[in-house]
Amino acid sequence: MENLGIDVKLIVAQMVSFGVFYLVFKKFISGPLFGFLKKQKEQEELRDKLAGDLEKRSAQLEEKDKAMDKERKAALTKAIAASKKEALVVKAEIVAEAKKEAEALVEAAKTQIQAERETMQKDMRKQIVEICVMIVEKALHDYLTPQARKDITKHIIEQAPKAKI
Amino acid sequence: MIIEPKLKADLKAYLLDRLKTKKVAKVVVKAPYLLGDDEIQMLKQRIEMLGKATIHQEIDESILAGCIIQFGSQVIDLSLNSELQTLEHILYETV
Repeated sequence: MENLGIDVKLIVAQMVSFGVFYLVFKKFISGPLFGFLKKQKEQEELRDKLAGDLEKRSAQLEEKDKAMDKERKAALTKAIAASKKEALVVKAEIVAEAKKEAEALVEAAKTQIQAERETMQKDMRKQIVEICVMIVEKALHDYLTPQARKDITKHIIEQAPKAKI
Repeated sequence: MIIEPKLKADLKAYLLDRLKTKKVAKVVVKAPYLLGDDEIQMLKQRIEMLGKATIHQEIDESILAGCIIQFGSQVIDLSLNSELQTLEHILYETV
């Protein structure tokens, strides 16, 4: 054995030291080490699980967001259509009212024109009558001789009614 | 109302005098010419008061014919001018 270079004592000593090492390792180191490794593994699994959950939730939220967006757009379109409809109705009302007011103004103007026309006609008649009487007066003034005046005066006095004063 | 004493006294004296003296009424007759006696007589027959009053005649060229009798604030218009005015009113109302 010595010719092969194998030292039995050395081997034994190494085996003993290995055995001691193994015992020490098993008793003092392996437990905590394996526990630590287990813990690390568990933590890694938990992290993977959480990551998966987060991704799922994120996908869900995105879907929800898209759905809400769609709803909002639909509601907005509906509101715009309703407002347009209402605006058309209000516009029609305003136009009708304006037409009514315009007609009333036209009627009032017509009435005023008619009234002014009548006033003007009245004034014209009055002036015509005044001018006619003035012409007659002037003509009589020029035409009546003193004798004619006397005759007319006599006639007026004869025709005058009796007055008790 | 405060009236001056002297003015008050004068006014009182005047009114008393007017009451005391019975004056004959004055009548003004306006015509385009001086009316003759017969015409005055006809007027007196028509208007009672003229019989008791003194008649003053005035010539008014603006009167076409007829006469205007004025006593105090009262006026009787028998002129042709007033007839023309009446005609004017009638024409205006009817036309």
